Amino acid sequence: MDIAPTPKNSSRRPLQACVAAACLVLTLLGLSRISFDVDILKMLPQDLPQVRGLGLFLKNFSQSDQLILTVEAGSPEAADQITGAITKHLESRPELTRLVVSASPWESSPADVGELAAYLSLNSSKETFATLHSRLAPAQRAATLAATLERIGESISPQEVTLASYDPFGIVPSLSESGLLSRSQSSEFSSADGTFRVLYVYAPQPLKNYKAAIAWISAIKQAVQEWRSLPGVTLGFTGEPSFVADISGAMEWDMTSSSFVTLVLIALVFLVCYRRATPLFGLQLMLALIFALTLGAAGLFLKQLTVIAVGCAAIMIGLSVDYGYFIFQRSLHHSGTVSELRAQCWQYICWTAGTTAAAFFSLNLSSLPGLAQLGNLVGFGVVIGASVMQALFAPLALHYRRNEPPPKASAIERLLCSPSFAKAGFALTLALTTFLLGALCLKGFPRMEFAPGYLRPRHSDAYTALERLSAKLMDTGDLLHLVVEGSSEREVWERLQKADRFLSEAKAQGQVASFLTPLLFWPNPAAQEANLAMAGELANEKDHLREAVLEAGFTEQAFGLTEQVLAQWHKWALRPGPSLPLWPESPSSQWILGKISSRSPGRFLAAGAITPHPGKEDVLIESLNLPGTFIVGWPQLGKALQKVVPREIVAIICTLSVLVLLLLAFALRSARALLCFVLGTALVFACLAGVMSLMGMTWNIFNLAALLLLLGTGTDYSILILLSLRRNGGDLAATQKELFLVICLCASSAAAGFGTIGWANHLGLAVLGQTCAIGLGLDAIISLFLLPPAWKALHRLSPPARASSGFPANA
Amino acid sequence: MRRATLLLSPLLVVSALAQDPVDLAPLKNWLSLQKSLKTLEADFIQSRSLRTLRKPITTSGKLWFTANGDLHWELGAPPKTVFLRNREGSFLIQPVKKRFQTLTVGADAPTGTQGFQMPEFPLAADLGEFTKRFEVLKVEPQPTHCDAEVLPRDAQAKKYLQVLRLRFDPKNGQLYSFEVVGKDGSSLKTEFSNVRINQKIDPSVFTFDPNGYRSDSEKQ
Repeated sequence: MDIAPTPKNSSRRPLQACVAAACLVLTLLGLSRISFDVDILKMLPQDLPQVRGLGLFLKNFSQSDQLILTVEAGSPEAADQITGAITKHLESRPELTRLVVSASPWESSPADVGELAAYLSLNSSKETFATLHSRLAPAQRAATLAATLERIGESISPQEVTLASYDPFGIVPSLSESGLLSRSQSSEFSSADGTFRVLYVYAPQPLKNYKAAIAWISAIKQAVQEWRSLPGVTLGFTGEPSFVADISGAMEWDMTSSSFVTLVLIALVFLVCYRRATPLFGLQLMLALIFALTLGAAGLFLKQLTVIAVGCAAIMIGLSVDYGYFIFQRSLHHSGTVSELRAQCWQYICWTAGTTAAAFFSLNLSSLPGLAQLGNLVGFGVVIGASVMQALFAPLALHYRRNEPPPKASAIERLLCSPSFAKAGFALTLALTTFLLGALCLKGFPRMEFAPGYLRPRHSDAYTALERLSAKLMDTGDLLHLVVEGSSEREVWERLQKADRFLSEAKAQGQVASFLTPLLFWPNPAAQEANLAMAGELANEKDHLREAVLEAGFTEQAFGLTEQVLAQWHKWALRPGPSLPLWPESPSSQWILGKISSRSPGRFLAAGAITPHPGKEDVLIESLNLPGTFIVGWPQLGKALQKVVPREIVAIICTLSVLVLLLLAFALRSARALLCFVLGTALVFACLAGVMSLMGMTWNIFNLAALLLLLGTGTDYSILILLSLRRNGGDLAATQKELFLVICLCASSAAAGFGTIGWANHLGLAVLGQTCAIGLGLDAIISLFLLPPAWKALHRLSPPARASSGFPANA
Repeated sequence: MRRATLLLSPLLVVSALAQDPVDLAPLKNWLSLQKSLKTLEADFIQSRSLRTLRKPITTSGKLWFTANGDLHWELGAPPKTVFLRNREGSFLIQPVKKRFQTLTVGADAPTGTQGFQMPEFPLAADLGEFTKRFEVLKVEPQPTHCDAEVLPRDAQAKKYLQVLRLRFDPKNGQLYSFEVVGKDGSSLKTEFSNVRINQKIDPSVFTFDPNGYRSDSEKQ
């Protein structure tokens, strides 16, 4: 399409305006729907049991409106005082919190213990309850009480003495057997030494999105600022809202900062090379448009962006600008129409955008949804970028060219086109690649490390606070989580029983040191049904039981708990057509149940904890073969990924390599050129491994994917060089003049795009960016300085057949 | 409010300084005499006065102790409950029911009476260690003995205890009684008698042969 208006152009204008308006509306709609998914497990293969189990655990047992506030002070008295003051202050701010819990709920509501005790007893097996029933029978109750008195007199355990004295009939012995009243000196509210305290703070209303979480956390931090600034006192903020605030805030920052910096770097490079501001402005406008269009498309078709996908912005900008550079460079020496310019650039852009998009779309072959999302975003972005540059930037570039005098070659351009530069470059690149290959031989291949740390933010106050909390409150080392799911209470109960047996066996075999399942608390429908009638009978005996307790030498206080239990049984037994199974409802019970159970219609989950013997975790997990039952942990996730991901990435690399080679075979139509490409690419990867070995970098789930990206993006430089050499009949000087500046610009912008995410807060994304930036740099210098001499040497050995260009003369 | 607190705080400091400091000398003397303790053998009567009982429960018992940490503490005659600590670990034995629990295993296992209702022997190596573990509330010298009230500094213990009362003789190092008073007013008092110090103790007192006993699951 020519710039000058013609009748044909005028008739297309309304259509173009409509298309533009539609794009604008859709883009704005899409942008308004963008939200962040901070669930890092969503980035991982969903069919891995570790991913599924951890996902169930995090989704169902972490509370989205509960902030965990930790207080650490020099002495238990100070910690106690500060905790009390903060609790009181936050409770006086109903606009900030609806509930603050700083101690076990049953300490402030002892009456709740009765309901819980009644429930545990009713939920015990038929045999256990029948034994209790017979212990409380009229003929037996005196002997029961006498045995209790004897136990109170003979036991040296203060816990046993206290429990027995307040439960003379032994209605709830299960509390002590459950392990809940363990010898552990710490609790969920305090460390053993009392210097570390925990408060659970609830938001006044559900937090709708990450912005609400960020605002609420900021308000809480401001409210407790007075105590944060006390010397020797450390306040920590963790829990689900804090993670959301941390991770989302970091994602937002990473996205905007990396895009901005990439744009700035691109601008600087362009100015240095071309010394022209107006075309730069046009180019930046195109990049902003590409970014908006791609993100708008993402908002329309994707629900949420994952942490990895936020890196797409910078990457996309860094790649799309290549097409702009190429078009601009072409336009400087173009004297024809816009259509002719487009036609000249079309095949180049087609091959490079095609291979790049193919590389990113190939991430869909991976079972990592996060990488697939990144691949789709960047793939579409590259296609949109190529289209926008062709459609909009080509006429603009020509317009700039016609309105300004032909530029003189800049100093950079003259340097890049000089033979001495090529010679120096060759020598330095040869030396560098030799050094890196030597380093690889000496230090060995970088090792694999699939630690879960790569899934986390680099700096996160929420994670730091959580680690501190775990260190202070956990008695033992690394815990594994048991997660059991089912469609009904009965199904979960049956699965819990099997899990309990499995873990008991594992303990006997020395795999497990201890474990805690919620079997005691989980409703046993059959037992409740069988026990409820007997419980009702016992409830009716309340007065007689009280008399017996007093006669035996106990006081009224000793009957308090028993009375509460009987009252609760009475209430349940009288419920009209009681719907079983029963769940306890008091706030204290809800507090406990919230930690070990999750209920929704048709879906029930139970959680437990396992302390494995060190080194036995893998054996334990591998031997688990129970439906709906998972044993999960973060270190185990890393190991599971390490087994699956490398194999998968290698398979995808092989597939993509074949695809790329087929495309190149068609494009180059030369076995020698193809060989140059293969050797050059292999050298790039080997040197990259050398750099990683030297820098102590390791392969992980993210930078393994970088190999795929390099295969698609970095190979563009080799393709350009080889195509140009073919066209120019091996004239290295002509190729240097034609492509060196463009490739330098492309490589620097792509490296800038990837490099700016090298400082992303998300460690995995940062490593991906660093690896890609290094790889692209190596690819550029090897393509520029080693590939042409290699091509020439191969063709000197056996002269090539006459080449058919298949490309326009100016390409 | 803050200004008022700031104004008041010097007064609080001054008033605290004005109170008589607790004289720890008797405690210090008594603890220093514990160092010469090589063996200890005593009878005791333990009274458990609980809020839930109309009358206290009284049980007799015996204890044997050596300076290398071996401890044998038994309640009842014949003994119904025995706490035994030796090089092999700690055990809770019920001789009449022929049952036992292994509490800790090995000579390197943490020692201590693990929260059971008996005092440590000695309570501390010296006054410094004692004041590190306990806050001394009161020391009242009497003509024939000395009474002290202390509170453990451990946050968890402090949660449930009102006070620990000691009655001892700072001149000969003897502990006459040890009382634990809970927050609900319940108390457990152990009164020692027939105390024999540094006498030879039959080593079999500190051994346990589990043959014929059933082991209960380990409690931790």
